[in-house]
Amino acid sequence: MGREETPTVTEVRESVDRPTVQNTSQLRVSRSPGQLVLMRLLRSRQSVVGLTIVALLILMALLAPIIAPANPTKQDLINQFIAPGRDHLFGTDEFGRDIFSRIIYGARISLQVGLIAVGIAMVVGTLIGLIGGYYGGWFDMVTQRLIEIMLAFPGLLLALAIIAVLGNGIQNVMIAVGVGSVPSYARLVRAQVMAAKEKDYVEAARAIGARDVRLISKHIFPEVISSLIVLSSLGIAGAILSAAALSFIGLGAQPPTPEWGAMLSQGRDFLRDQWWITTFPGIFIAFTVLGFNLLGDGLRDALDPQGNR
Amino acid sequence: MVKFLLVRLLGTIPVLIGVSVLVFAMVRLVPGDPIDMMFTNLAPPSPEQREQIRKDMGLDKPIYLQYTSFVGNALRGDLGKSYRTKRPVSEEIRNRLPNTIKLTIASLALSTLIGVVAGVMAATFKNTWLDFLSMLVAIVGVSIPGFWLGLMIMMLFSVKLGWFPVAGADTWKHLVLPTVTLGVLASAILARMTRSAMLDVLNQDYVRTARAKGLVEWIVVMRHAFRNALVPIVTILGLQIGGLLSGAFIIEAVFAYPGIGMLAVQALANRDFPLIQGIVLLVAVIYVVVNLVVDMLYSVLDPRVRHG
Repeated sequence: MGREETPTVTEVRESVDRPTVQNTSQLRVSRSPGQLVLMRLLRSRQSVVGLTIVALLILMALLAPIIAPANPTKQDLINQFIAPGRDHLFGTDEFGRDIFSRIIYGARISLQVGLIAVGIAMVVGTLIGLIGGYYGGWFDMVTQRLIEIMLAFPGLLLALAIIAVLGNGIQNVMIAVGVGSVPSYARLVRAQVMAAKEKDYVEAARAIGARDVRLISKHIFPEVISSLIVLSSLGIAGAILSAAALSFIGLGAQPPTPEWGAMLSQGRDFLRDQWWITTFPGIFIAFTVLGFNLLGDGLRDALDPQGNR
Repeated sequence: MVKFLLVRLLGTIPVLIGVSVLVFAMVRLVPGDPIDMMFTNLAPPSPEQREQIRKDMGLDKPIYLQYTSFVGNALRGDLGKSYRTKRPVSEEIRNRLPNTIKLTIASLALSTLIGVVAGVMAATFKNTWLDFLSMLVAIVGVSIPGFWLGLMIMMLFSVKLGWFPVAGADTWKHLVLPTVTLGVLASAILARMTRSAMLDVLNQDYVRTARAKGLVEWIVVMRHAFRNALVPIVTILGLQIGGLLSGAFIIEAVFAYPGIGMLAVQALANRDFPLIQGIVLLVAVIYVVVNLVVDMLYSVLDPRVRHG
């Protein structure tokens, strides 16, 4: 999203003051809709917190080799089970690995899982929703029945079944979580497409001879984007949580990968005396998920100011 | 009314068929020979044994016959034998299912209590510290990994304080910590939903009328608003049961609570496919039936639905 600079207060105030004057051509030239959303987003304390957490996390993932004091997978058996302190901020695990460094590298995995799983769900779900919602017919019939069947498997169950078939591993977890979330995207997009295609401006575009592909991409899809943004922010939160849970029960990332859920699982045997092995990865999962949830909530409010929450 | 129920009932049949096809296909899609999987930790069978097993399991028949016999057997409660224990899958499940049902019902009750009370309070006192606090707790609750919360609760109450046992399901005490973990997490979603459903209703004209005619606020909230907010709340409950059932998979593993969730996790680790199949099928069927019941409740709560 091409937001190069923060809008000045006057710019925003101007655009807020005359929202009715804007017509489509103006919308396309000026950056005010984006600025408006950003402004609304920054006005809510919750979203600012969410945005900050997400930004810090991305920085952490990008700069991992610079920030991390130690190699995340290097074993050092002399220094096992060191309590959090000056040398090891979050302590060390049973192999003497520095937990702080493992957590920093773990951010890469969690973000990757969140983005890829949501990417799969969004691409597949949006295509199903767009085509099914626009054309209806047998394609819609078949995909909707399939989605109903997928929805019969609650929560993680579908992902579990998919992993059972594909085998363990973090890649398969991404696929499983992604496929498992396709129904939400497909349903959302389909419902919005069906509403949008009845609108007058779409009818008008059709009347002047716009083809289906153009109608869908230029007139209908833009209507869906804001809901997709909200859903994918919340979806990343959910995907990270699911993937961590799957790694926790041993289906996802395999040792020595510094994945947070897997790290937590390793620490289970040392709950009594080495609390730090389980505590820190959990806190980071929670904050990451919280960040994306707050951001998603904030985006919903910012993109839909009429909503009454 | 009867027509609505009938249509809804018939609508579940294709879904159940689809579920059974998917679950059946699961094992066939796994790369490798199922017979090899049965002998993962044993000496490989001789070609003759292999042929015999293939025949016994019906793997020599065409695929559609395999499917029909799978469904026929499943309907009679025969889900095959566990690769690992060689005992019938139905028996394994029957031993564990009551524990999971206990856990699901207990945590559903707990989450409904906390979630609905918190949601109604938050909506009634909108924009006060009470609202702010309950929604803060709710969004944190949605973000906390269940398995981590479970471990932290276990660390405090079992390991450090010794109030509750660490693992197992022999007494009611074993049920407490898993229930609290699952219930608290599920209540977060419910509190958010209840709040927004209540806010929708509290803005309606008839609520204003009720207030205008001088009714006490709690009567307005409970009798006029809450009764009508129940419809969306009940819908969420159906989803909640699904969430709790699948959440139980992870939480049971945390507390070594012997329900079908832990059984499934073990089965996945052993790649014990008949057992995985059986559990996945059972949970999906339970979920479909629960949602059917919820939809029916729905039409009792909201007469408009019957004609919709």
